[in-house]
Amino acid sequence: MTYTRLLCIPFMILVASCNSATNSLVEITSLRVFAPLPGTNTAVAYMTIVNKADNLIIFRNVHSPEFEHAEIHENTLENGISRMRRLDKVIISEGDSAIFEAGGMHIMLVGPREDIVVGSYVTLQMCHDYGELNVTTKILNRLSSE
Amino acid sequence: MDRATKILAISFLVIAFTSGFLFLYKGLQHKFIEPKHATILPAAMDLPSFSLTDHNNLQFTKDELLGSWHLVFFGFTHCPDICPATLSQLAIAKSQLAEKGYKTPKILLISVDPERDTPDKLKSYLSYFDSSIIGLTGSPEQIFKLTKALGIFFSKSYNQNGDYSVDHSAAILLIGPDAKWHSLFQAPHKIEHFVSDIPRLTSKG
Repeated sequence: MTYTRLLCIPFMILVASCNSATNSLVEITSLRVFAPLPGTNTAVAYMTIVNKADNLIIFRNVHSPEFEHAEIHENTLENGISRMRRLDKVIISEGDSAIFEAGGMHIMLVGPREDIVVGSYVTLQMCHDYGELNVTTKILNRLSSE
Repeated sequence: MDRATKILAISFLVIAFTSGFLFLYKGLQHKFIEPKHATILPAAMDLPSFSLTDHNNLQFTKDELLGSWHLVFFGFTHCPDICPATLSQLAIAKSQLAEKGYKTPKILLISVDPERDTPDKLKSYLSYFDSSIIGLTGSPEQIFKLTKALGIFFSKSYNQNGDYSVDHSAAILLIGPDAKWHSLFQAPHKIEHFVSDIPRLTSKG
């Protein structure tokens, strides 16, 4: 780890302790979380993560207190075949952003601990190499958000 | 030329002109316009005979396709991303077409995860999008037989937890009232593609 990165750690931990995703080195925008569909136990989250830091940031894990576990997934389309795979990490270069959207990267939230419906609040803890960024949002209706 | 002959000649001309205009107008209305996004098969393809179970636990065979246009998508209920996104797009496109006064195709979801997708599960799942969507499931052998004949691919992909996802063809097939496969929409799908092309494709037959 470089000297610059070490200097960043205390600041990033301070930022991560706030629930707001704005005014931080890592910014989350366009966050949408859709409730599990009837008969399923999986919700999905889409967002854009902007790396505002001067160095590369690697996201490795996601947690949500409202779900048993959360995973970063990527859906790819090759020769007309849709494939979904778990990602171990998402690397975002300085000044760059990672877009999580339908048909691409997404956060899969599995096993709701309580009844999750449209309008419920969900918190995502986005863990990167220097700390975590918490974001809380309302669950949306997928059909009205397409 | 006397007055009566003049009136007769003018009347004849008016009738001829009106008939010609109506004939041309009707002809133009029914002229087939090429789709912008969908691919039309060079020749409509016969579907093989099949027997599956719908979301109401009733038998569904090829004959059920006769008489209506159908949009057929292959997916599974445990899919958190592309399948619900596609079903939402289809449901919204259908609603937009209906608002514009078009006759809309029926939507079919054929499960590529028949071991987990029971009729009850399909019914509950599909009701979220549009209660008119038909869900089909069956034995893995029945599903495989149909998908193989149509060139539709699906395969389980296991993760470290022992859970699995299903890789599958993302195309949407348009089946005609003759129960033949006429055209397809390739992924990635967009609502506007369906809204633009479905009236063009379904006006053909």
